[in-house]
Amino acid sequence: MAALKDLFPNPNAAELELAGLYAGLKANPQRERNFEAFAQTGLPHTRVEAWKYSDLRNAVQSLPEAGVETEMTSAFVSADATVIEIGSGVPKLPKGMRVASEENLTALGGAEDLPVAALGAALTRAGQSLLIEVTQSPEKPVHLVFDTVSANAFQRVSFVVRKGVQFSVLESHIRSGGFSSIVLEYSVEAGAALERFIYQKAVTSAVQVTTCIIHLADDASLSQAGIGFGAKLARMETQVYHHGENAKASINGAYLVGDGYHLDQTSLVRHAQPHCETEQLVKGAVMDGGRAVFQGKFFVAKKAQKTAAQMAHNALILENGGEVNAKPELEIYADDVECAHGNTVGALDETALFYMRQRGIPETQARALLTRAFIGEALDDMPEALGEILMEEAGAWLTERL
Amino acid sequence: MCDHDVSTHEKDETEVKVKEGIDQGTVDAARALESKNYSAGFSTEIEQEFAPKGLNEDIVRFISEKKEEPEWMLEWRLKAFERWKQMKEPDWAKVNYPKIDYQDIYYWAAPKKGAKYESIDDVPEEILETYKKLGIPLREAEVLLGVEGAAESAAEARTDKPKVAVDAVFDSVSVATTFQKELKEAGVIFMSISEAVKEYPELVKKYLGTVVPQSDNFFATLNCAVFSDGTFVYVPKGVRCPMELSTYFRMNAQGTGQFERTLIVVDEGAYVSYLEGCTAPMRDENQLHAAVVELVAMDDAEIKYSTVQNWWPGDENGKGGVYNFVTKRGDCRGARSKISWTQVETGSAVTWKYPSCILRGDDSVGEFYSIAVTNGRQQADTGTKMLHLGKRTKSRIISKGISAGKSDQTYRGLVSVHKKAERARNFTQCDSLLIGDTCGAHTVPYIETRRADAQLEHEATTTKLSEDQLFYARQRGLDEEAAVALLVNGFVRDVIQQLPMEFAVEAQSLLQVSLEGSVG
Repeated sequence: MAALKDLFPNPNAAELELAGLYAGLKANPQRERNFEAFAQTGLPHTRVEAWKYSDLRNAVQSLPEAGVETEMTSAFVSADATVIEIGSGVPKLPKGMRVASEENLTALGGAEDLPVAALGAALTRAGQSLLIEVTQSPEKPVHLVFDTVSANAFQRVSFVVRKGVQFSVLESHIRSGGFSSIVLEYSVEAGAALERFIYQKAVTSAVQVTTCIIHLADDASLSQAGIGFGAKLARMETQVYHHGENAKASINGAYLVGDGYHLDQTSLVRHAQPHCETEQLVKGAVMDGGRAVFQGKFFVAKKAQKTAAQMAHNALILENGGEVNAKPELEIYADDVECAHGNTVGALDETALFYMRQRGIPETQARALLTRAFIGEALDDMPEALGEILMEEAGAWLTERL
Repeated sequence: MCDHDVSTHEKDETEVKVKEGIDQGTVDAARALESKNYSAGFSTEIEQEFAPKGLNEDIVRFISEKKEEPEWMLEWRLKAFERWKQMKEPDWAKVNYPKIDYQDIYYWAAPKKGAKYESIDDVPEEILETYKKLGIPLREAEVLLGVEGAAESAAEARTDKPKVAVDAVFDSVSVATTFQKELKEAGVIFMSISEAVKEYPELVKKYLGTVVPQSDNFFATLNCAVFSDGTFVYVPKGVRCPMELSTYFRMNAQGTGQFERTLIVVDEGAYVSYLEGCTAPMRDENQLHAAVVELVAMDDAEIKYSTVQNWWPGDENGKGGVYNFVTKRGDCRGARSKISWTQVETGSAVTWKYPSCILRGDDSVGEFYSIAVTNGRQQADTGTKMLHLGKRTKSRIISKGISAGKSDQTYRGLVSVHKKAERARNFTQCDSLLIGDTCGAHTVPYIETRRADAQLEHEATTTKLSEDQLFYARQRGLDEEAAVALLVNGFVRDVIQQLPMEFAVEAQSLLQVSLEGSVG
């Protein structure tokens, strides 16, 4: 493996261990290509622009120890959905879905720009990589549960959502330690609709990267929302490609980041065709010692006239010492577009707080209620039952900490 | 200064597809900025003296010697040069240009004859012509050229207007500074930096490099080693500078770089308004401009710094033009101090410029107002940095970008609130207007905060003009042209309003975005 080792500019212990893991796997061209794409950057650090605020190289100096079985459960367990555990063999799928391939051999698009996703795709073992076709709308949403405890987890699931199909997915990303890179791909064909709801929670020793790439064809739609609590370093990255006309995407998210946690929500939406819409609302709150990162980018190609794209990120810093880093970006080459982004960071509204206290609500409770309402806006578009599950989690989290 | 007679320029035959709702005036104004209409693009045939091409320690020594600098200044330069050799050119900005050969540039060029003249008759005709072409009236040109007695007569001639003291920098040297006497009475020091190094070494030593450190960035460090001239301003305690101060930069000689250095120190409770203008001749090759501007504001001091940047942008195919790689930074060192940057950027082939404020003093205020227009093949990556260190510091950023032709424009800004910046406030608004579908407009803001009580707001939009607003204005009886004029006027108004009167006029003629009646 000497040759590969040489690919890294200045390998740290973790990168050498990763190269070792790669060497132990059965070689194939796709794996090789992905690993080389990773090795170009290595574990990204603050000098890599896309990782400016999330120093992965520093967080993973050597591969961390395995996690222990934990009490942590996904809030989605109470949802009415078909559970699919990723990594425990070929899963049993509900009607309308089938495993098209037990090992996903398609190359990861844009792997060079997604070094950690490329790593995840390169290191998947048998049963950790699936290609699933959705031909009919399943009766109930499916609930994807990813590896929780392994010292290092590399998993990849790709879905092809066929024309006109409505597909609803709940994703639970829970980690009790270790390092993980999970890759998800959704190819949403013409007129199909994808609903994606995310729950992320981990302990402060876990390093967790989840990358989701979504392709939207003509008239396809995406509705995404979720909540995240961070990890030692957690990055939830979403890339949406508007490949067809009249596609619509809404990518919302809420976060609550406490002491010792770091949560990075990064997204890139590429408008390649005219008449597409994107709406994004990300809202969150951080406590002392917590760090939240929001990076959002809308790219509008020359051809993508009549694009309507709105981005908003609103954050609350609940205590001094909480940190918010935001980079809402627009890159626009078409002139007949309506694109905007807004970003605010501040404290809770004193007047609202005062009003509630006047009504006899104790301060801590008032703060919890207001914060909950504040981040809740990002979950408003979710189906009510699911939204409530997440809001309850948020409420409990706030009550415990405020 | 440079007078752009946009109204008489002939319409271009190549029709640009104009989106409905965009004023022809805006389009014409943007087009007027195209190369063939660059009225400051001539060069002055004057005998010049050059240092040998290229950069090494000897050149640094040569420049220092030419300027008859004290030993400490030379050492300062050499230290920077050593540092620079270790540094790498930054590549993170969204601009593309061929690699610069730093050994193929003249680092020093100056008009051969003495810089000050006894009478107007002694001034070389060529230099007089230059100022005339740039639209600076002869009387002022006389003053500029330092003809004795001219200042008084020019001052009389202009009694109806506010006075402006001018320092003119022609390639590497300052050729004249006006109104020195009057300023001296007020206690204001306004002179070229090379004179200041000799006359006020203690002041210069105390402040030079304290806002932009020697090793700040590649271009700033290069400037530290080879800076040729520039302006030094010191306004003592409690003095409100009696007139606007202005520096006029002109890059003339072929194959030269301009590395000016400006240092403005405003002491407690003092105020100054400073204007800066720039032009360069049309040349096929690229010229490098790597300036450093440092501002220091003490307790209760205020600095208003305005720029109209109209360097040669290159021709419509992107040949030639100025690389404008400038480091501008203001340090609000004292409590309640205020620094305000206003810029109208229409020139340069490639711009890399982020006028910034370090809000160190409690209750200090930083402002950044910018209009940037790019056309042809121009590329601009510009914005600001507001670093909130002190308590209750406030900043405001208003950026308006208009992209046309095949140009690319990026707003890149940083707002950072540090741990101790209790109740810091920032408001940012960046709006972009695209004319045609072959250009790009981008917004890259960075927001970093660690304070619960800070309030930061950022808004950005990229659009063409709103149909609804147009409709509304037309409903009120305005014809389309007037309605559009009104809206475009509104688009850049926030910035135009910040400019001093004289500059606002120049900015308008540069932009010609139908702003009748609303400025002032």
